[in-house]
This record gives sequence, structure tokens and C-alpha cells, in this order.
Amino acid sequence: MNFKEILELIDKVAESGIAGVEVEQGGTKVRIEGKQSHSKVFTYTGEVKPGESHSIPMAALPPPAPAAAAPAPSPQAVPAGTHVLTSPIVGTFYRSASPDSGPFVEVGSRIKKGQVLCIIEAMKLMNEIESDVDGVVAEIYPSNAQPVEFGEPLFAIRENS
Amino acid sequence: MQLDTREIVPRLRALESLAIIPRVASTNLIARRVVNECIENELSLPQAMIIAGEQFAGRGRNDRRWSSPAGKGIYATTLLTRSAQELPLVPLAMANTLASYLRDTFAIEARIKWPNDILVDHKKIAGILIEARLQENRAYLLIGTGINVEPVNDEHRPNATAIRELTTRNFDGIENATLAFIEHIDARLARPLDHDEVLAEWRSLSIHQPGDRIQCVLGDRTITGTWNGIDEHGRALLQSAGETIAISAGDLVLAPSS
Repeated sequence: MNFKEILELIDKVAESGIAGVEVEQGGTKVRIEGKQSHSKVFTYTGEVKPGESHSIPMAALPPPAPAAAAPAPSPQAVPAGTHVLTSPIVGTFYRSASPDSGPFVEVGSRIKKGQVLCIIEAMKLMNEIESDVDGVVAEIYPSNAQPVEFGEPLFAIRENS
Repeated sequence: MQLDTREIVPRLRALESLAIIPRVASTNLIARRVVNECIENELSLPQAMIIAGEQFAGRGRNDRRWSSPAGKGIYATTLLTRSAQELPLVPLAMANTLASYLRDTFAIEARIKWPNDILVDHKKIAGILIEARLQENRAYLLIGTGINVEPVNDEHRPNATAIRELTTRNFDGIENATLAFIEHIDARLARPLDHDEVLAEWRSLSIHQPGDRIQCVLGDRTITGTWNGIDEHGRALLQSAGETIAISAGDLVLAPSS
């Protein structure tokens, strides 16, 4: 199973609204959980084959220990066709416009270039961060109200081909 | 409000247009519609101010309610375009603008709590909520400001004060206060943002003294330390456990001095 297929499966799970799916193929097991789950969007429990050109974003792997946060993925670790939107500033990451409103996007959301994906607050200035590509949200890295650094990955977006 | 925008606008230097609306949900909501229209249709944003006589859904940061009854305050949103480089200066520059408005017009000893709350004797008199949309190198800014003019009995803001309670000058009503506000903002906007000048003025108006005990709440973390000024980016510097920590986000709490 290659990464493109995994991402397609994520879309299918997101669209269908089912709780999740687990696939085992050639020693590689992939489990994808839908929106209802509060855990990671997908966990990859299989081995990556030697010579496999695509690697898994680190944040998608189960954390090594409960106390340690998953290290942020480097954009190089993301498969081709997936764009990583990074934070243009240091600040606090918010997924919605206000505590009472719903998030701007979820994993699986189809998005357009120019669409607001999140807010990063710095110096009490609410910066609306737009997508710079059309595509589908494949991963949201920070949790709501989490501090983010300059250049820290915010979203993985599978670009429309 | 009886102010005539046709008389005011020709005198303005930076603001191109001015709308005074008797009652709105919130001036930031109207301004947001204007910004969205401009972005969608690739139009340049007018440098404009929207003023409401009354807001029935005025909001501050974190969606906190900002009580905005008719005749009690100045509720405004200013629409501006700035370069992305100037963006970090805007919160500090706006705080300077509001504090100097209260000082120059009403001789009120307004001070700034980092980064841009306006206080008099530790009571809030004015608030700022800035929203920005970055487009390439240009930032579209919505600067919401609320100034308490008349005291309001409001359980949501027990620690608030108002111009009427503090001014030692003859206070001649909310309309003149609003007119002075428009002119003061416009005069400030007509001046280019000078980095060193903004920081120097902010420091002179700051409520914080070196060594003041400060708590910074950032998500689920709280850092306690002492105030050590602001750096050249306007970040708050906290001295904590022998380290200097630069803070650009989070809520500052003034801890009582022991």
C-alpha cells in the first residue's frame, strides 16, 4: 500500500463518516479513524519497505512515550503532492474564530486557496492564516490553543492533482 | 449620534471614508464583510472607520462580551492596509494611540498593560481587538476599539472605569468625544510608523515597572517572573529562574507585589 492510497483511504473515511478502518497488507498495517475519534487521525504500525520513496510524517506515528510529544515533521518527510503549511509567526494556534464556533477545517475538509484555515494570535493580534493551495486537509499538527513557533508545520494538505 | 460625516471627512488626512451607524451587531463584523468582499474581488481596501452608536453583540478577545450600550462608549473599527513587516508594531502603536487620545483630550493618566490594554489605576477604560488577513506582503487589518465614556453598571466588567469618572476637564458629551477620537486616530494614521518611536512611546506609557511580578498564561502553561521591559520586536521580557524569556503570545497577569 503506498502513501497515495493511504491518503485516498483517509478521504474515504472522512467522507463516509464511519468511525475508522484498519487494513493489513504485506506486513504493513494501517488504521484510520474518523472524526468521532479524539485520537490521532491515523496510526501506521507497519514497516516502511526499504527503497520506499515516501516516508510517514513523524506526527502521524504513535508517540514513543505518553509523556513525550511527537516531534514536528520536517516538510521533507512529507510525500510528494502533499503540501505542508507552516506558521509564518510565533503565536498561539486556534482552530476556530471563537471558543463557541466550530473549527475552520477538519481532517478531510476540501479547501480552496485563500480559505482561512486557522488563527494564530500574537501580541493580541488575531492573524487569519490562509491556505496557499487547493486540496484536502490530510493532517492538523498543533492542538487548539497550543503555542506554535515560526516555521512549525500547521497543516498537511494533499494538493489537487 | 448627530455627527455629520460629510463635514468630518474632508478634514481627514489618512482615513478615506467614515460610516456612523446607529445600531449594529458589531463594527468588526461589518468590517469583516468589507474585507472579505475586497479580497474576493481583488479590490484595494479603503482606509475607513466604522462607528456604531450601539453594538448588540460587541466582542473582545476570546469572544468575551464587550458591553456596548447606546451613548455609553465609542465603538469603532478601523480598516487599514499595512505591510507585513509593520504588522508586529500595530498592536503597540494602537495602544499608544488610544492612551494618548485619553491623555491629550481628557487629561486622563491612561497607561498600557502589555501589549495593548488601556488601564487607569488598574481599571480598564479601553480595549483593542485586532484581526489581520495576510495577502502576500500586505496585511488587511481590522482594528476594533472600545472606549468607555459613561460608567455602566455591568456585572461582566466589575473592574472597569470610564472617561466621565476620570476627566478633570469639562466633559461636553459623547459626540465631541467621538469627534476628537476620529481626529486623533486620523492624525496618528497620517504619520508613518517609526519603529523606534513606537517602542519609545510605548515604554513611556507602560504600566509595568522593572521588577514587577508577572505571570504569563500560555495555553496550559504558566510562567512566573519579573518584568524586564520589551525587546525590539515588542515582545514582553520576563526574568524567570535566571533566564530571560521573550513572550509574544499569552495573557499577562499582574501578580500582587509581595
